Amino acid sequence: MTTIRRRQVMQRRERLWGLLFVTPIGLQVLLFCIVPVGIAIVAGFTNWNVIKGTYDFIGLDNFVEFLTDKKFWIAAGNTVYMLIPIPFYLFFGILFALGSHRGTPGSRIFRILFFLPYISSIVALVVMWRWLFNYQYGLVNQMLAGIGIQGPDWLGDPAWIKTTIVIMIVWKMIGITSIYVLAALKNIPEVYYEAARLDGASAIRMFFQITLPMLSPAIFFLTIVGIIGSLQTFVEVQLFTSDGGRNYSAATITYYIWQKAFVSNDLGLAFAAAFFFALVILGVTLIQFRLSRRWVYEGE
Amino acid sequence: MARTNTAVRRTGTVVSFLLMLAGGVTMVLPFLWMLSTSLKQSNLVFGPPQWIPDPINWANYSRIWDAAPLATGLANSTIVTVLVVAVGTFSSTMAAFAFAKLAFPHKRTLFVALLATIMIPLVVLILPQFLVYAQIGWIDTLLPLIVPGLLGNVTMIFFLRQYMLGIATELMEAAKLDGAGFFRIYWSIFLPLCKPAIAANVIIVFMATWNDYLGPLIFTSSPENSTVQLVIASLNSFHAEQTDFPLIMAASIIAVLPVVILFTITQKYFVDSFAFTGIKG
Amino acid sequence: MKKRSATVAIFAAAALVLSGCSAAQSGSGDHTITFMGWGSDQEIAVFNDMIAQYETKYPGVKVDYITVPAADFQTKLQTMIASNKTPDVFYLAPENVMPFASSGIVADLSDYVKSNTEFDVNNVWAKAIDMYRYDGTTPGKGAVYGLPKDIGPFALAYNKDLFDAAGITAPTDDAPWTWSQFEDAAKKLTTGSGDTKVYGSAPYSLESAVWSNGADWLNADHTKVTVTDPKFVEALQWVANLSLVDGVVPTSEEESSLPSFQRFLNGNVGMMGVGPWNQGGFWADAKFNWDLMPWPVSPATGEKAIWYGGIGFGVANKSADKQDASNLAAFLAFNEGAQRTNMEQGQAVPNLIDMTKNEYLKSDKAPANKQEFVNIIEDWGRRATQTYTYNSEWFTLFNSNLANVWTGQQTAQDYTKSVEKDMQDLLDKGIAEQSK
Repeated sequence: MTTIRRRQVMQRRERLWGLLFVTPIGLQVLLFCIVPVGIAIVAGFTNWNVIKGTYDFIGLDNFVEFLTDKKFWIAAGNTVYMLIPIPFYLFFGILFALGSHRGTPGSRIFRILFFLPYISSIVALVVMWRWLFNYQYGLVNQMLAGIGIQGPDWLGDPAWIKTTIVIMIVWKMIGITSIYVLAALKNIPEVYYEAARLDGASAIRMFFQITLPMLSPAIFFLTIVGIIGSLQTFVEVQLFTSDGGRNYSAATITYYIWQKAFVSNDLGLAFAAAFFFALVILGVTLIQFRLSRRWVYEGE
Repeated sequence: MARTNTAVRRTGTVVSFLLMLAGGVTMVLPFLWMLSTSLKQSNLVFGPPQWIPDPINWANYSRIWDAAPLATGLANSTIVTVLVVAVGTFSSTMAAFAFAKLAFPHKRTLFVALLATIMIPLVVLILPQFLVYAQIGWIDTLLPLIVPGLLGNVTMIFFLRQYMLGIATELMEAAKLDGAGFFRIYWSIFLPLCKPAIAANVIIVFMATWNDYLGPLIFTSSPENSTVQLVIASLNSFHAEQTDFPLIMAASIIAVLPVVILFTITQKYFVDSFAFTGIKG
Repeated sequence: MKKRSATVAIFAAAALVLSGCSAAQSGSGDHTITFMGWGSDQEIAVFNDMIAQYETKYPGVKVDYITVPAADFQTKLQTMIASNKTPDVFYLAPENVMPFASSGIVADLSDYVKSNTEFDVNNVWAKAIDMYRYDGTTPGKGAVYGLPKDIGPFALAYNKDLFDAAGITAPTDDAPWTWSQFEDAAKKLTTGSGDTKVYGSAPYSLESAVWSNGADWLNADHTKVTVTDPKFVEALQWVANLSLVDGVVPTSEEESSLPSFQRFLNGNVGMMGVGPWNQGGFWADAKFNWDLMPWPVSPATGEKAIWYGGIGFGVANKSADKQDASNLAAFLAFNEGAQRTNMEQGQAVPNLIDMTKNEYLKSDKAPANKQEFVNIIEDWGRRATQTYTYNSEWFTLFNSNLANVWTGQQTAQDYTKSVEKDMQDLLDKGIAEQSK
């Protein structure tokens, strides 16, 4: 009797403490996430403009307006373009992780070097990049000139600005990618390789039959996070260009939304576009989870 | 047979070393160039590349404090980052502990809701947040940068929960039998056991907060409330006309330094705690 | 125990943050007004000086002077308006007068202008104040919504040393160069290559070329986009060809590597459009002689044309201290001491007519031909076209892709054709907003 009673008291206390412990984060999600999303959904159907002071319900007008806006579709195209870095940094990240895992001399130092771009703020990187890729005096074009190539106008030419941003993102992301992959490599039980070696499997075969499948959950995770991040590219555009680049060549959807909200003061339209964009990201993520069943190794 | 194997292995190591060297140089070269530029006189950077400045000119590092409110920026960033890291880590570990080890109503729903918030594009949140802050007078103060962070960090909770799941539950049952309260179990048993994972996450939160640009850009406006990133960005746009690159580079180096030092000291925790957490999608 | 110290830390921090922002409101004086602007280091120093003068004249009022980079100013200002933190006094661009006036953001200063102790309106350049007038339909008329910080005539400066070395004599105001004379001179001035190349001219003012050629962006009543007018296209192509064909102007890529302004200061550009706000910087950094000359004229009209610009001080309609705020705006705009400081620091031509004539024109600092600035104000300068429309997004659009022409990727004809419709749509949108 007393033990049962004691257990009940314990259970009640556990519930209480559990709820108490998650209260802060619960509050955060409620106040800074659910409430804002609620506002965003409602406001998307109004012509909210803080300068003009309008706030009327206008139905689907906002959606029609941005879906017929040429700039929105240019931005959408650029946003998709920002997915290009993902396979590159995955490739280099895996390569580096493999080198690090096999105990190449100097790995510890290299790990710090590879991490430098990732831990530096994006603002500092953009500042650095603007100088490195300066058309006339930048290091990159001066080095290209040394081997007889006239480098392009990396930051001004609509044909190059996106490439410049892509190179920067690849460069920045290799370090963190390799850390995740390295962690996953360390989790692969050595017995698998021992068994394979007994069967006389070659190193290449072992890589494709053991290493890669065992890495697939990590690669999947990195791809999902990478896609969600890439689709939201904003800061690079905002810092590299003054108005999305010539011909809107660098502007992404997030940049478009930001411009509508804070430059044109068209909050209603910005909310509508943001809401639409959130649905797209949700859709993309769900599709990925579905596709993942085909290639991600789930373990026994 | 054995000899060729060693030879193959040695060649592999050499190739791998060379590849990693090439990669490492690519990573660090831009930073060296930034450092080199920051030590040059402003009018001497427009010419053929010169790696070792001649003369070495430290003036940019003293000039910068007058040219921009960098000291204010550093102070503000420090206030925000220290508070968010210290208090936020506390909130996050509590929540992670509860999700990993305690039974309470709606636990699963709450956890899924938490994870779902990661999927919401930042721009969807930041616009209405701006309007809410505007209503309660928080715009152009540091509060929007601090208060949400105090309540915890979803990514950190997720990782620490995974980590704590790996710690045997028997430990907790034993402590319960000894009559320890839940707060004590959390504080004196689980927290110490999670130290390496917490360390790794602290660095990540520190980095994210220190390096944050979007939040300060949208929520603050006057120089006295600028964070260091905003100061650098202002320098960048202000000096676009005057193209005083050495000055901007010097400021950037000062802004990057704290994170680099912190990371170099603590980097050994990184791989180990990630490895333990395991990424299983 | 540790938990408690964490709690204490939160409250301490919150108190710190809150006190940090309330301090600005209470201050040590009776009250504080905020003033937001932008500017070069020199301009900021000058304003700090002028604000100190204001605080001496009006004891009990403290000014909190906020500066943000020019490029971010508009966004920041709108953010502050949206969050009900509009500064009491702020830089008001002429383009913003109409929308800000009709949504009640800026205060109507007409009564203040009529009776105040700071200035006599007859001693102020009429054009300077007219930029901030709006009667609800027509800009430039009716109520006053801002006081001029300055009036900025954009004149053509030249490097006298380079001219002398090339054996060129600058034209006088009554006999300006034609476009082809300008091109000839620019070709003579262009020498060398690579990092030490000297260019005949900085990118030429498109406004000057277009207007002098008898064209404009919009028709006379500002309702129709006219950029496909052959005269407009011709002027645009002429400006582009100075770099593309003649090679006497830095290319668009070179311009983005190192702006002409910097090249001119280094003595590597022969001619460049400048405003009075550049004088101080030149006095400090230019190691050559320089002066002003009239803008060249198109063979089509033979008329000189250029814009005068300016920024005003707007007073927030919601300001709690409108009188003090108006006094500050007027003080900065017209106070004799403040104006003299501004003039002596090489920031502006004085807003006060008598001071311009009696002191500015007689000063012995460069440029010798200061009369050129005054001529543009008094005589042939024009307000920029985009300041006549309710919403200038059409103009932003025109400019944002203009580099397509500067780089030769599109001809002036193709480019103007490709943007005309979108510009017209934006213009129509603005007209519709205005009539609402």
